[in-house]
Amino acid sequence: MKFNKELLIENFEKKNYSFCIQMLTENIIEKLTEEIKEHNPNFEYINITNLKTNALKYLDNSNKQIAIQLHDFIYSEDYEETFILDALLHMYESLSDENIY
Amino acid sequence: MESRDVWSFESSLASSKKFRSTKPREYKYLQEFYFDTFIPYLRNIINSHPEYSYEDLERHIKIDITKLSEAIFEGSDVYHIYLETIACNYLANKPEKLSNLLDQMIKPEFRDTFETDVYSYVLPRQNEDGSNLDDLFVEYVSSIMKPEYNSQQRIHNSEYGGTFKEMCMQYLVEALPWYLEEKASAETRITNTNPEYIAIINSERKKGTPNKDIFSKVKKLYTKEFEPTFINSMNFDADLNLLVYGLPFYLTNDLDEKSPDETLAKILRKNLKNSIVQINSQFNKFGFTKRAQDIRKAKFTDLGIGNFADRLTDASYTSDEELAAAIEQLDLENLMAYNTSLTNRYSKEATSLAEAFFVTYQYDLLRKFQDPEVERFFRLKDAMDTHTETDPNLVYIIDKNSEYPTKEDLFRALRVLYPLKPSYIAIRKRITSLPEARKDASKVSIPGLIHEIRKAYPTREEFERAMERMQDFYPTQDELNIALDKMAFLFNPTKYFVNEVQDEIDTDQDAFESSINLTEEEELELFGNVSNNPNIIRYSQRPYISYMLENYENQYKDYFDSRFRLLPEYSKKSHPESDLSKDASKYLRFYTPIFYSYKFKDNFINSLVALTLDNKSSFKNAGIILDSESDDKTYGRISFLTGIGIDANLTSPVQVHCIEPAIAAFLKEFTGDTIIPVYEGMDDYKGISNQSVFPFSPGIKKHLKALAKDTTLPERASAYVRRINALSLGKLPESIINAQPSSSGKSKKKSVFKRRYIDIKTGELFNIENGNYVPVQPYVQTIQDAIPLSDTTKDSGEGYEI
Repeated sequence: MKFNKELLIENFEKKNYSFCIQMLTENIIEKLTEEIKEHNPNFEYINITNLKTNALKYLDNSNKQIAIQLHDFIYSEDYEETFILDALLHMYESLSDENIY
Repeated sequence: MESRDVWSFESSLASSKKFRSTKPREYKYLQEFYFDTFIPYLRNIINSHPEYSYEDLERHIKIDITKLSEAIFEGSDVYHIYLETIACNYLANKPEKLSNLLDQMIKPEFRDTFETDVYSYVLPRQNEDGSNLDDLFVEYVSSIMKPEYNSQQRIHNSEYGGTFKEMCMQYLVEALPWYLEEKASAETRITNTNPEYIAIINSERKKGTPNKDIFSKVKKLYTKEFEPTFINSMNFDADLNLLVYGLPFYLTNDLDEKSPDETLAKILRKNLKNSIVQINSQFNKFGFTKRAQDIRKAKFTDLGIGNFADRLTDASYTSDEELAAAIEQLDLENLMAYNTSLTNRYSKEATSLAEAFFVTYQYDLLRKFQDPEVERFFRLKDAMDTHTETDPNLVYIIDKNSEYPTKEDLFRALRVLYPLKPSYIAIRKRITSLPEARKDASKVSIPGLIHEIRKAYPTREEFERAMERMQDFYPTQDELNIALDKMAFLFNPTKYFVNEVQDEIDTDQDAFESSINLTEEEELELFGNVSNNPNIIRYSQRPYISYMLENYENQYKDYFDSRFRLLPEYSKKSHPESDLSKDASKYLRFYTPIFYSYKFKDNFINSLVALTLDNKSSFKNAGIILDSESDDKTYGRISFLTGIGIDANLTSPVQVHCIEPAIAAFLKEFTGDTIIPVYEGMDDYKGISNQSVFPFSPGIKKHLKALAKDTTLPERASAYVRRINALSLGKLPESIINAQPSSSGKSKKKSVFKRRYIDIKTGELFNIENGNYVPVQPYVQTIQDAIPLSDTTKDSGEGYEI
């Protein structure tokens, strides 16, 4: 789903964090994919693992870190929803011109 | 390695503080783990090796950590190989799909990916009778594939993983060269035995004789010509099958565990067995098995089935050989479920262990443990534990005149021996709640416990000295929190570094190894031994330490030293200086197995989901765990942190937690939709944790059968026992069948259990009818619901398609 700040805030206020996480995750993946394609036009997003692998190959340090962190959030059960959401908000802000906070 | 400035000290610290704020009770779990599990592990080493110097002890522990780390690598290929068996099974049973896929693999868009030159002529794909894939075609497909795509390294990248179709292609990329090689060998062997057989196969084929008749004809000839022992020794049947049926036979054979060849199924079993035995062995060594057994005993005793817990403990496999023999009885899917359960536990246990090791190192406790006085103290604790456990009715005799030990001495000893408040309170409560104590507390003295104190410390002076010393032995809550804060700080930069290292290995292993090699001295220093395992790469910490020092050295020291200075006990005992190079070195060492257990988690969640989808599997109940359902049972709700459940042929259901997006992502890429089976009947065992999972022994099965019939059991215990009994028999539990609403209509009409599915994205629930997903009928409570259901039916649908 496309990034929609009003929808994000509305769901955040309703404590529908799952929705917010999903929206941010999808859009972060899209942005990272665009960045990777600038270096490797043949790149196709398959899963978060192949995104991370290609991010490590082609992207700068801070975007590599985003890809690594995203992978960690998806597969580790150590993180609270709110922690993930907070981190994703920062990640999205650093990748886009949006000022969410 | 390049210098990185990804995480500034301030951002790393801020992130770690936020993370730690979500786990305010972590220090308590660490305390419990440390006292109940880690200290016994250390003491066991020390008591088994009284001759050890401190350096010997350190080396022993380094080797233990190395073996723990290496155990997780045993199963690194398992999940990908399992997904390949699914692909293989699919292609073996659908020859038309196999043929289409091979056809697609030579199309320009697929060829371009491999950057090869292309021949544009068209080869015949099948024999004239359409029954075979022409080997020339297969050979052509195989020849145009880039050689490096056959390498094992690609498996770990998951770069070409993704859709089920791509998984099938990857499998064929690996399998085709092997097939061609084996077929050529089979032809050579049969030619050497009798070249006429090949001539007969070819001529019968030209006549259009069906494959099964060709096979029978040639088989009759060699059965007549040769003795059975010779035929078996030459494996004629397999060779003949390969020559007559070609690639489809090769695929079917690749799933055959009884084949004399090295098949995919056999490789999978070998990998699974190694992984299960190794991880289980580590759990036994570090005390995780015992801990799980103790927790189970407590839970089961509350339920009223404490005896069953004892039986399970007695039946658990303490030796690698016993376990290896027991798991031979399990089929591959059950082994997959078992291995997944163990791997999932591994990441949690390895984290607890990493924390305990870090604390031990941080506060130099290892040296203290070797002190004979400390061991003397712990022996007193062992004796006290024995008394309090085995003497439920401690007898009290007054001894008011005793000067040593007094009742106050006893309670002081208990405070020091059981620093965890709940344990101390529990024991004190037991002692003071006894009837004699309630009548007159001054009349109470406890001979058993008093006797042990006197035995351990014959004089008051020795006792006082020991209590004072041990008072400060354990890290305090604040000290534990500082250690945890350090680990939380080190986590992100270390994770980043390890990811970069793995990427460099995946890109060019030779270049990596030459750039970051270890001297033998360094290897011994870090790992305690020199490796002879060709599948595991050990690398120097030097770049990592340099990076950490460059970015964080002074700020780290300043920040954490200031934390120690603020501790109330700072002036009373010495505290370590915060030396980043030492802290980071230890942390990387402890953290590596945790990183790899999570690295493999994407594959094992994917294969776990695939297990639930595979309708050919033996699991009657496997799928996603619902949080709740609508009243009419047409919709289900899934939590963000959800899980996959599988009722396997093991002593407990297998459950793995994961977040919903991870499952949805795999489903979408693998099947094209987001529908997954529902796991039923969690209420039977909700809140009854049994982490010590293993295959059933005949004794346990017998005990369960009898226990399931016991009508005196409390309801909750009865539901649990019946559930586990069903697992032992490989049957669908009655509780699941009975929970489904009956069909409406005539009374006493038998209804059938229908497996349910859920669309993760919409929450809508489905059954499968005639291969299609059909929304479940809304549930309306009727009188018919009182009639129990007893029939089951298999699904008729497919889990996935290409």
